[in-house]
Amino acid sequence: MRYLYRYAGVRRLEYARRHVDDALAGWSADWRVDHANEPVQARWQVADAATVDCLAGDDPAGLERMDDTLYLRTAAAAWRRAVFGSAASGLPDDPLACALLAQARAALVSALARKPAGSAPADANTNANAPTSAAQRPVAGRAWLYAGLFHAGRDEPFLQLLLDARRFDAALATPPPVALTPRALAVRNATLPLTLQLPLDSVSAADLQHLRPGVIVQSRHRLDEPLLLGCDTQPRLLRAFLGQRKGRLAVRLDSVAAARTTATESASAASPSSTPETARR
Amino acid sequence: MNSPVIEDLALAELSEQPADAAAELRLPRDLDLIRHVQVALSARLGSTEISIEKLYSLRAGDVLALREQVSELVTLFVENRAVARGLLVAVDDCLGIEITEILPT
Repeated sequence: MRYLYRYAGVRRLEYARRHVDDALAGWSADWRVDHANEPVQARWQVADAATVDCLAGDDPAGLERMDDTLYLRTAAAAWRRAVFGSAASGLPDDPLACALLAQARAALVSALARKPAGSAPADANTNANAPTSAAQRPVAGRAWLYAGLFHAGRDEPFLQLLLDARRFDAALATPPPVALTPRALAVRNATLPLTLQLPLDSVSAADLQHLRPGVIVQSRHRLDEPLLLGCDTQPRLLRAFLGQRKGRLAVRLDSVAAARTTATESASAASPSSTPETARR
Repeated sequence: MNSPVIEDLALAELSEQPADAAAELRLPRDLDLIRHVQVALSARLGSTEISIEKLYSLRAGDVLALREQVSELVTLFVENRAVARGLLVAVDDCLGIEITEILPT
């Protein structure tokens, strides 16, 4: 029977992950970016203040309800919506739900207080006391636990099983591989033409008249900057460094090109009237 | 001082007329008229093909060989139209293209 419960619990957590993870990840990522430059203590305070605002709202009985919720006597629907989205809107207001909500809330606030990846280096006051390893655990794991309750209903043995966080953390440590759909399998061998582009400045029509053999069109693209590799429909697909391999041009991939990032492109966008430097050799 | 007389404006009905070859309206093909128009310039350095499966398995640091030889000419485009070819060169710390050939329009 224990194995049956465990199997059913994992299945329910997988189901919950599909519904909760995206909303939660997007919400917390946005929050962390907005508060990236604040010291960790300030971010904790702002996170709590935002929760309080959300709980109190315009309800005349807001303060009383807020007090109830802060002491986890009531799981406020507004807070659930804000944090977990519609996937958790059906959570019952009972003590067990509140206990799970407390776990999810603690994990969420810890996750929000983390420094977002790719932001500026931390200073002495920012994230100096980073959350412990327990606090750094991805919030999604706790959210699955939380959502598992929602989907499990009030089946008592099931709830006890879901409350055993250690067991489910172990189960979730190795997420199942993503299976390709038949449609994705069908196109996997299709080929995509990629081209390597060198961005140049805009020129005036008059300057084009000076284009003749011997002229050197100089870009502002530094030799050590990555170039853009893309296809017709998506010219900015990847950033890659130019080189050669066995006498042929080659590129070493750097990153996904999601936005205008190189200094050359920024300068080009900022000064559309600039023209490339040309010279006769 | 007489106040102006204000009346409804009556516009004549216009209809297409066959163009008279002698009176054909043509702007002079003078570059001065468009000399300040800005056009986008770009260079295509190389190309390759990759399967969808391989595309999604790429990782930072992977090397992709392109079709073009190192000494092969690159193509210069104006508004996505090939206009010239040239050699990829280094100009100080930056990339540049030495034009070797103007393509026929």
